[in-house]
This record gives sequence, structure tokens and C-alpha cells, in this order.
Amino acid sequence: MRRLNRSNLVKLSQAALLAWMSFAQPSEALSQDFQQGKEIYQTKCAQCHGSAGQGVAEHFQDPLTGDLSIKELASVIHETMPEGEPKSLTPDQAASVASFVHHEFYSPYAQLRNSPPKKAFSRLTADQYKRSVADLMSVCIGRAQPWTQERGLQRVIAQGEWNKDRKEVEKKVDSQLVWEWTEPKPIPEVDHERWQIRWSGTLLAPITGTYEFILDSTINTKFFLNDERNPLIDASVVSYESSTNSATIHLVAGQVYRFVLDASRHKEPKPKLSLTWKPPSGIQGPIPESYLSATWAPACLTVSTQFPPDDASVGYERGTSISKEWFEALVFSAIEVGNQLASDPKRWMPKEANDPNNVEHIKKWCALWVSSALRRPLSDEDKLHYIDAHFDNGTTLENSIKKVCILALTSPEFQYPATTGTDDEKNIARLALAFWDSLPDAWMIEKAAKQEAHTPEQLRPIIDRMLQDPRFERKLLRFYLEWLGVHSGKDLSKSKERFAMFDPAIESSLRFSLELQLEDFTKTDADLRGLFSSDSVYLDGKLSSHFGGGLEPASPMVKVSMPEQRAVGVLSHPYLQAYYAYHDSSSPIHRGVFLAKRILGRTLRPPVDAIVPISEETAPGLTTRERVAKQTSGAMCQSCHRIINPLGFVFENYDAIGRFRTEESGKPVDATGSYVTNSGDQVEFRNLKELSNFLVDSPEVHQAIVKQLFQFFNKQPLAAYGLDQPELLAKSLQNHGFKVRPLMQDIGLVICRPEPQSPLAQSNNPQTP
Amino acid sequence: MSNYYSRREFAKSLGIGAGALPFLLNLGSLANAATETLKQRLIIVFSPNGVIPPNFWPDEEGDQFNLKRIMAPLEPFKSKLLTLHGVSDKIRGDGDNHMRGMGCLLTGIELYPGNIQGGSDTPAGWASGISIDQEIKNYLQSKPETQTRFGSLEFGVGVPSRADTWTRMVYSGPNRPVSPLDDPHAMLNKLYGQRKDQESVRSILDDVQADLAKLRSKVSQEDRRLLDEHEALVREFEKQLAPSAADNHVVPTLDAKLEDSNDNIPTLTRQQMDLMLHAIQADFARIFTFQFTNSVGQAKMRWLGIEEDHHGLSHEPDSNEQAVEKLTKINTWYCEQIAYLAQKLSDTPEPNGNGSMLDNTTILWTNELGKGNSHTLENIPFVLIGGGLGFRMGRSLKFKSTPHNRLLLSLAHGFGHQITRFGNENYCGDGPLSLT
Repeated sequence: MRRLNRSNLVKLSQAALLAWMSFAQPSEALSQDFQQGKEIYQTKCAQCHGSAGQGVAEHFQDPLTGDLSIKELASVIHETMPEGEPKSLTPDQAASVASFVHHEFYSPYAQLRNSPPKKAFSRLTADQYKRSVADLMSVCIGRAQPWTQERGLQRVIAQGEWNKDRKEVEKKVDSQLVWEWTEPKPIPEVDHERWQIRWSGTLLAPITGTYEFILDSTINTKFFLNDERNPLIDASVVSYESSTNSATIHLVAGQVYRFVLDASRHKEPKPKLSLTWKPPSGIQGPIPESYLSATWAPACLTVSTQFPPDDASVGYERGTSISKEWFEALVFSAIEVGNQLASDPKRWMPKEANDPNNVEHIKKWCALWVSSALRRPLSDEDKLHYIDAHFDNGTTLENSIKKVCILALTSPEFQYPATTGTDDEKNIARLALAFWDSLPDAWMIEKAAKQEAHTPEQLRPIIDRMLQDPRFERKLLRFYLEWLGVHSGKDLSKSKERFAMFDPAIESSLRFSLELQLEDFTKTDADLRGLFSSDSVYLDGKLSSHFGGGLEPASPMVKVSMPEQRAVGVLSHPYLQAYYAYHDSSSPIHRGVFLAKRILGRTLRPPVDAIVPISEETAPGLTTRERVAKQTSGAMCQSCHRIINPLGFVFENYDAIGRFRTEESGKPVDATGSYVTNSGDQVEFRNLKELSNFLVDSPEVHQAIVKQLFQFFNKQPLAAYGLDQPELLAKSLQNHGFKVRPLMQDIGLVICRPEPQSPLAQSNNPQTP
Repeated sequence: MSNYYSRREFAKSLGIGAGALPFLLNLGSLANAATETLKQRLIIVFSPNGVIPPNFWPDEEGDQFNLKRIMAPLEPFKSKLLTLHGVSDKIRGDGDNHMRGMGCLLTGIELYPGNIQGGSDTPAGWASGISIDQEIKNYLQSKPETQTRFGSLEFGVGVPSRADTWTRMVYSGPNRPVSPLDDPHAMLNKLYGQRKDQESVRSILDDVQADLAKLRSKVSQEDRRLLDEHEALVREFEKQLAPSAADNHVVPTLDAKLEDSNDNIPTLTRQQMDLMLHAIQADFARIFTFQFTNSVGQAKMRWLGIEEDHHGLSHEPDSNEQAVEKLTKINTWYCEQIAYLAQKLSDTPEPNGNGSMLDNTTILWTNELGKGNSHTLENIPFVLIGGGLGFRMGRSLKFKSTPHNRLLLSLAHGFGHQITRFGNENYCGDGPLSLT
């Protein structure tokens, strides 16, 4: 496979420049048209739209921008313009106006050219801040062991007392946190009355928020999470009847937490126990096996202070603005961390610490900690400023540690990464944020200190190492969920009359099934086109009884190949279909907007006015498709719905909960649709499968996904790195066989490139004939 | 209550030793007791998705009127109630009615046209001006006798964790939305959290300033803007750390942290309202906002036996009697929460003997729409309770499609802040509504 190196990138960039130049300077035949378009525009359009399409306050205020192709734009102009005299221009005249407008200011490309986006000076987002803090602590006490393929916890059953005369009699990997001692004895060699059972390993938090753990037990049981000394649930005293204890804890998505469940029997009758959880906005149930591993992890410091949400109006979270609420949250979180650290320093410092009261020793660890936060080695001056100054003046040790911590976390250098330092230091700071949302580790800091992090040859192995880290894998999963628009989740409950079976348990299983399907594309470098084309879906017995797949009722979640093109990658996934639907019916509009914006990368304006959907009662006998077509038939609506509807209708084979259907209210489902590409070609689809065939080969889709990947990971506009970047990175994706990690290598190099090499940087003035 | 000659004398009369004096004299509440200023307060409560007008507005006009179903919980406060029918949000321009209804409600000015550059997602379009609560707060904070530790506090319940035009109604300036805190524990922390850590924080703030200055020299002119703002925030925070009445005020306690989920809305509401009452008693602020969910709010009031989400229901036509009934119940529930707040304020005497807290507080209950299914911005619900602003209460008033900017002006004038324009000046025509 050909990999893009830097010189290839430059070549490609030159090729794109040439391509653009040829577009920028229409050929002679075209230029006549262009000139005509310009004249017509200036005489007939400019008085309402402004001479450069900027809008005119008393007529049409909005700037004339959009992403219709020239052909579509020409047809809109012909049909509707000028106001009051539609169709007064000939189709040819309309086409010449369209071509002028499109080139000068209308198209997304012209918009970028006329005001090229810039890299924005940014602070850490709240999420990056929380992840960085968690990783900061691991600098001193080590990181979690990498997970193996095997899922489940290590379960040990032993005779005797755990710390005294323990004799292990059984050891295996197990994910069922339920145990009942029945007659006859499950393990013959164990004394009936005195035994221990312990599950240990790590738990991965799938989303950020407050989790509740519920322990039901008749024997002495303790549950430890993220702290092996202080149990989260202490049920060492239980009544002989089952007793329930629960506790909550704040966990951060993608972090791994030490997990130990310890129980022992001492003559209690009917010994049994079970541990379940209730994840944020989820329902109580067993902890899924995929979040458990028989590995070890040190304590992970979790910030639970709530931050105001970061601005995500451009499609990705970014830290380009600050507010009073943000600053307060920052200070409170620093206090929260400082208190955790200072009240129990032993927990956050290495085991080999000789004497935790030895000030010099503690200062040493604090220095390591601050250096990690600043992403560089500390100078003597730094040591004085950040460490030594706070350990004098008779301050208690606890307060000194706290002050160092608060200062480091609120320090501008930590908050505004890659602002100061050498190029090497800036590079590792940027890469760590991009791929881990966190800090560079000691290995990277050392590379930067040796100035071995600035050429592409030096950067490649650094990036490659980062892409092997579980933090990248989890960020990639977050990306896919965000790309599909389901990241934050919502309550999907459906009409009880129509979909009685769609209970919270089904909803939660479907979400899990979607995540498993996406993990096929995070854990390995599978061909990304499979996201649109795979004929398989993950189902368990219960889901299968509603969504097909022919599984036994008790079957665990497995990957099932679906017949008759019912499964079309994630596009047909029931969770997604239920997400983009009303509570009682499908919604071609939501599904069409999803496809247009997220998958095809189109820009759509929000509706001018909120519209009341036509209800089924007021339009009896119409199918959903017919109702939507009727509702959006107005000329104003059609400017966007001409794109949205024919895409959304293709999903009509899936009802409001994503079940496949061929009929709706007695009428056969019409799932045909169409799309006009941004080069103006009309494509027709008979069903979702045909749409998916179009998507996998569409350069628009490739550019949309690389752009969104780049912006999600790097939190800066891609065009700020060169207007040709979407095209270049889409090429990189194609050249690498649609594998994500090689693409990410190239993205990493773009992020580290010293100056944007935009072909337009020098030619800000659009060339006109 | 007699007038003390000076704060020092007042303190002396309490028998407080000279050592405690410098500390005590900084206490806002004691300072105020000495100067006899009325502690005027404003609480703006927002609930979303319009109302059911026939079940909301009194039919009669004047001081003889009957409360309809939705407002029935306010019956005990009828003599302290003022309903303003016919006040309308006239602001047009960008955004749909839910967006404008929210973003222009307290600002009275247009939204910016999707100016937070639209990339692959919906452009945001924040409001282009300050909101009236922040305007009044700035006014109060500018005068020593009405200064409080926070000036204003923004509460929320069930506000989705995203920042957009539908979730923000408070603006500290053009393009500067203020997010409500919807986690009672976070609010408690904001009010009382740093007490024991004040010293640690105070001692490092100078270092942070120094570091900012260093960083500032290394970035471009353009990027300095953010660092300058950062610096201002550090200074402002430093002021908040100044000793205040909080230091000898009993800290409220909260039960274990509740999940920020739909079904917890009733409990979270109660916790937030109780915290607000604490904050009022401690005189932490004079201006409060309380935001239930957001514009297009989708609360599912299962606790009332309603399974559908509020916004979905609000789209149902008037002919759907079941939906109308459910929406009436939903709005009545919001009204009950306000009645709870009013009752608590009414039960609490002012520490300086000036009647009850409700006598010095005005609660303004409002909404982003007049009616849910028509999305109209005419007849926006504006209901006032309490005597904080000196309006003549106990009346049902009916205006003729009057711009709400004039009501916003009245609020400012109620505090003695005599501005002649607020928001879009085209709608400030005849000045504040005459409500006294």
C-alpha cells in the first residue's frame, strides 16, 4: 500500500492547486457565459442580494450562500427569480447567473476562499481537562494495564480466610456477578461454611456520568471501585435475609477503573449475592461483559465538578471561549483534585515511597506532576515558582500539596496547550490532544526534549505508538457515535399502543448492539466502507424475537447475518432508525437531514418557522411518505426538502423502532429516492442498499468523513490547514484502502505541519475572467 | 428600627469586640441593616412551550378577576398577583420562534444571524444584547449599598447539557450566553464550596495572574483577547472570595447526588428552590433566574401520569382534548412550583424587619411562546407575584399587542435604574409600562 509522506502531500497539494486554478479561471467559452451572468446579476439581482451576495437589509437580508450545484441553483433561479417575475430569465441566462454566483460567493468553496477560516486559539475543553487530570495522576502511579481480547473478571474461590490461611481452589475468568451456594456443594472440596469468593479486574466506563451500583447479598460482601482500600459499598454486616445496598460514583467515559468484589461466608444460611449497575440515563441490569477485563489498574482520579458545556455549534466541541461559569468550575475542580490528593497522598504516589511525610520526596513527585501538566521539563525557576514557594512559610504539608495542585491545574500553560515552547513540544502537545484528548506521556516529553519530534520521519513512529493506545480506540468510538449524531443519547420511548415491546431494556440492548457494531471498526483497521454495507447486526435472543435473525430466546449478543438486504451497515441499525423517528411513526425528514448533514456533509438551513407536522388523524389514509411530501410541498420548504425528502424516503422500509417492513397501513412501502451530487449528477435509488452502494463510492462522503474525523480529533477547522485538505485526506483514505489508522497518520502530520500550505494563501483575490 | 449613627456604632451596640470589627464591617447584610436599604429582588422563572390560553389568562380585567385552572395554585397570593395579557415579543429576524422566543425573551433584541460560523452543524446565533436580569444586576453591583457577593444566580432544572439558542435565556452581553447551573450540588459548591479552601485559592491567584502575563507576551494580538478575558475572570473571582455573610451563615445540606434525569425533575426542583431561598437569606444575590428545561423542553411528566414529552404534546391541535388536558396539567405543575417558592418567601420575614421576603421580591413567571401549537410570540405569559418592584398588584391587566421591551424597561425602573431603551429601541416607544 502506498503511504503518503510529506512530499506526496505537497505534490497532491500542488495537483489540487492546479485543479482549482482551472476552476478559478473559466475557459474562454465559459467566460462569456460568466460575463453574461455577472451583468444579469448586477442589473437584476444585486439590488436585493447585494453586489457581492452579502444581502440587503430592506430586501433579502441573508447572505446568498449554500451548497447546491450550479445546475440545481440554475433551476431554482429560473423557477423563482427575480422576485415577482419568475421565469423571466431564459434557462440559459439563469444558468449563467448561477455559474457567476456559484463561483463568486455562493459555493462553500467560494465562501472559504472569501473568508478563509483560521486556527482558533483554544483552551482545553472540559472533557480534555478531565482526561488530562486523570492521566496526570498516572504519571506517578502508573497506567492501567492494556486490555486483552478476553472479557470478564478474574474469579477466585478459596477456602479459609483471605489474608490468613487462604487456599485457592478455583480460578477462572467470569463475567456473571451472581453467585449462589446451592446444595449439593458446587465445589466439593470446599468447606461448606467457610469460603471466600473474589472477582477482580477493571471496569471500563462507557459514558461520563453518575453510575449507581446495587449489591444484593446475604453474606459479608465488600465492593471496591477505583479504590482498593475504601469500599464503595460495604455490606460486611448483613441480615440473613437478602439485603440491598447501593452507592453512586462519577466515572469518565473511556477511563478504566479497578474493580474488586469480595465476599466471604461464615455460616450464614442461603449464601448468595449479585451486583448490578445503573449507568447514567440507563436502566438497572447486569454489567455487560464487554466493559469488564481481568486486568489491573491503579486508582484513577476523577473530576466530578460540573463544567458548563463547551461550544459545539460548529459541529465539534472546542475551547475557543471562556466564561465566568467556566472559570469557577475550573477553580472548584482544582480544589476538588487538590483535596483528593492532599488528604491521601499515599494513594497517588508510588508504592516505593519510603516515608510519605518526607517533604523532599513529596516535592519530587509534585515536580513530576507539574512537569507533566506543563508538558515539558521544569527549569529551576519553574521549580521555585510551582513547587518550592508553596512548601515554605510554615504551611502544613496538606496545604502545600493542595496549592501546588490548584496552581498547576489553573495555570494558563496547562490550560492553553501548544502556546509556548519549542516546535517539538508544541507537536507532542497537539498530538496528545488530538489522539488522546490528554497529555503527552513521559516518553513523548523526552522525545521533544531531545528535539526528536518535528520531522515527518520522527513524528510517524510517535503517532503510530499513540494509535496503538486504548485511548485512541475509545476516542474513535466516541467519534463514530458523534458522527451518527447519537453520542449523547436520548430517551427513545415509543408509543405504548403501537410498540408495546419497545421497553427501556430493548432500547438499552439496541444501543449496546450499535456500539458493538462500531467497535468492529475501532478495534481493528477494518475497511470503513463496511459501515455502510455490512449485512450483519448484533442481536441477542430478546432482540432477535422482534428484529429477526432467528436466534434462540436465551442467546447472548452475537453477530447475525441478516437475509434479503435487511441490514445495510449501521444505516439500517434499529437504534439509529428509532433515534431518527417520532414516537409513533418513522420520520423521513429526520432521517434525510441525518444523511444529508452527517454522511454527505451538506449544509442545511434551519426551517424558517417551526412547522406543526400533519398528524395521521388529520390526513387519514396517507402513508408517512405521502404526509411528508404534502407537508413540505411549499416553494419555501422545497429549497431544502428537495434534498432531504428523497434521501429520507429511502429509509421507509424501517418503522419507528427500526423494524423492517414492506407495508404501511395496508399500502406497499415506497422506498425509492434520489440525490443530486454536488457536481450536479442525479442518482436514483430503489432502496437503502442502492443508496449504500452510492455512498461507499462517493467522494462527497469520503470528504465529509475525513473532514469530520479531522475536526472531531483536532478541534480546529480543516480548511485552516489548507482549502485542499478535504480532498487530500479523502485521497489518503482511498489510497490506504479505507483504513482509519493510516489516515490518522496523515492527519497527525497535517496537525504538526508548521505553516498551513494553502494554495489560496497567496491568491486571496478570486480570479475572474 | 432605629437608625444607627454609623456601622461602627451599630457593631458596637451588638457588643462585638474591637478585634472582630474589621471582619464584621465587610458583611453585606449587616452593612445594609445599618443603612436601611430595601433589599429588592427579582426572580425570573421560565417554563417552556407556551400555555393553554383559555386555561391560563383570567377573563376579567381589573382588580376583580378569577384565576383559571393553571394559575389556581396562586390563589393564596391573588392580592399580590399581576397578570399581563397582551404583552408580545415583537423581535423578528433570524431563528425560529422557539429560538427567538428564548433568546429575545429577556434581551429584547434580535439574534445574530447564525454568526457562530455554521460548519457542518446548525449555526447558533446568540442574542445580540445583554438580558434585563444582567443589566439590573450590573446596576445593583455598581453601587456599594446594593452590592452582593454574586449579584445574580442562575438556576436551572433539567437543562440539556448543550449550549445553544434554545437552552440559554440569560446573556451577560451580545454573544455571551450564561449557562444556568442545573445540578444542586454544583450550586451548593458555588455558594459555599470554597469556604475552607479560600486561603489556598487566594494565595495562588496572584501566581495565575503572573503566568497569564507571561503567556500573553507569547501570543498574537488577536489571541490575547481570550487571555485578557481570563485575567478579568481571575480578578472577579478574587472579589467573590472576599469575606461575606456566608461566613457565619448555616450551610444548607443536600441529600446524596441525584442523577440529572427526567424523573428526578420534581426533587431537583425542590432542592434548587430551597438553595435559592438559602441564597436569598444569605443575601448572596438580588437577581435570580430559574430555568425549567429549555425552549422546546421535552420533560416527560410521568409523575403526573403523562408519558409524552412536553414539546411533542404542545404541537397537538386544540381539537385534541386529551393533549389540552395534559398541557393544562403540565403548566399547573409549573405553577405549583412557583406557588411553593412564593409561599416560602412569604413565610420568611426580612431580617431587618421590613415585612416578609415576598414583600421585597418580585417573581416573574414567563415562557418563550404564547401558545404551543401556533408558536405565537403574541401574548407571552408574564405573571408577576410579590411586592419587590413596587407595582400595584392584585390586578389582571390587558394590553393590546404591546412590545415586551416595555415590560423589561419597567423591571429596570422598578429597581430605580432609569434607562429609556432596552434591546431593540424601536420597541421601547412609550417607555416602561405603567404598572404602579
